[in-house]
Amino acid sequence: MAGTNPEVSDHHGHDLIDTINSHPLSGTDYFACIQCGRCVGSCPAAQVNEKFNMRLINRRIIDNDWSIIEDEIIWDCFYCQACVNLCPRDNIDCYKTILILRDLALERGHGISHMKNVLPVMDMYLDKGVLADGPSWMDAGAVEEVKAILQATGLQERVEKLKAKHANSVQGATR
Amino acid sequence: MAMFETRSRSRGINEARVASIPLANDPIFYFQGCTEKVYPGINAGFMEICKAVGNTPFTSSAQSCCAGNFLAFNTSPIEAAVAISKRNLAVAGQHSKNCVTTCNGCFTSFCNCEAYVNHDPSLLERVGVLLGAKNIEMPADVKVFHVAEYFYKNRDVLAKLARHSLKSLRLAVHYGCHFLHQEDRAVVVDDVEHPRVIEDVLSSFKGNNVDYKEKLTCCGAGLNQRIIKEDRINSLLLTRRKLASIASHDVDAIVVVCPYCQLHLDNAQVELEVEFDDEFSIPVLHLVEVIGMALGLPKDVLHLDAHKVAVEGVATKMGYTG
Repeated sequence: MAGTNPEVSDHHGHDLIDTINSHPLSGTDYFACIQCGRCVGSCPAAQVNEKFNMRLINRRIIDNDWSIIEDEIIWDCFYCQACVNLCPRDNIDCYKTILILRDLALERGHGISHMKNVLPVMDMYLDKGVLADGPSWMDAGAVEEVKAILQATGLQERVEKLKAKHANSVQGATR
Repeated sequence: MAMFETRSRSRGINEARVASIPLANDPIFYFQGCTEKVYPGINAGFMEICKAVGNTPFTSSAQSCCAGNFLAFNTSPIEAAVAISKRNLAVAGQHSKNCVTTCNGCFTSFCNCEAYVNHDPSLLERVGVLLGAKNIEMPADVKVFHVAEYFYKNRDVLAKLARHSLKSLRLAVHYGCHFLHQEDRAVVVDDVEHPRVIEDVLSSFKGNNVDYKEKLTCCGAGLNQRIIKEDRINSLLLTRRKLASIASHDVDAIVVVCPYCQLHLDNAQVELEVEFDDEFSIPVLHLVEVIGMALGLPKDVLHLDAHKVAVEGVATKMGYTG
């Protein structure tokens, strides 16, 4: 939200940027992007997939192009954070931008199929606090503590909502 | 001005960071990763290497897994990731102000969460209230270090204990994205464009480091790509590109400092054989396993049989019999 990131200017009329900036991880001033393409130069996703071009994704955000939320390409980022260190304006944080775009997509029911293998992993964490087959290495009291934190911070609720959305999308596909 | 500093990211070793890394016998807490069941030699080997230098890291059955998966998979509010990160640091802080991890993912999840709360102090307040309600105190000044940093700082002490030299081995180091790329550059010890700390550690054991074109290229796991993309094709194509670059230099092994990179580079060689008839067969060893072999740790500690691509050839070449 703009309140937590005061350095981000208020761009009236660009409701996609306003929506991105309302995410707690926002902090990018997209209008400061000079479209230099350094973020693409060492991007692992771009090396194997010419459709993934972070410069153009930033451009579409500047252009208030909401279709980016539904575009499969936002699921191709490797989250390597190399672009974070490359921007000559020390500004465009592509990794967090993609993370926010994916959050916005999931909230609106897009890209839910990508949760298929993720949700069992989160169930494992919610069940025993560790991601390993077999019994947890944690003692029972510590597992309960972690569970209580995940409930209080809204993770459990979010995973349940994603599971419901995923189940609906699978049902819809088989109808 | 920051704008100009970032034009060239090469800045050499971050000496301020090096100064803060614990010495071999300083008390440390060991944050074990989730790959214990996949490559058990990393956790056990790290503990034994520390014992060899006269240190016994603290551990705890109260530590959970890191919060790395939470944000990477878009399944978590940021408060949950920070709360889990802070809770684990509180567990560590009961034993030591220095926490060491053997995984790029754990390292980054801690570092990113710290960067987020530094950026937005209200986030720290919200998480503090949540943890306070569970009677968990916020940790005071616990620093997280990567095992590659810890070994780099103490490489001379470690090398004196070597029973097997690495001089017969040609090694291709893979640093991994999240050893080099962080929100807060102050926590990165190495030169981002020309990293060398892992190679310096291996050089101390007389290993021959091989430079290769795709050294800085991601392993292909892409933190989430291995999980969220059903066909994994982009992931495999990138791994193939990296492995081909390594294979052209006739190396004995790839050395990594992240069990997740290791898991991917190891498993992907089997997957690439199925998909493309590729036959790379390059052993993928974690730095802990390499140093453990050099120190002559027993086979039942290092569990080298857990690897998909057999590592016996490396062991034989360096004279390690366990």
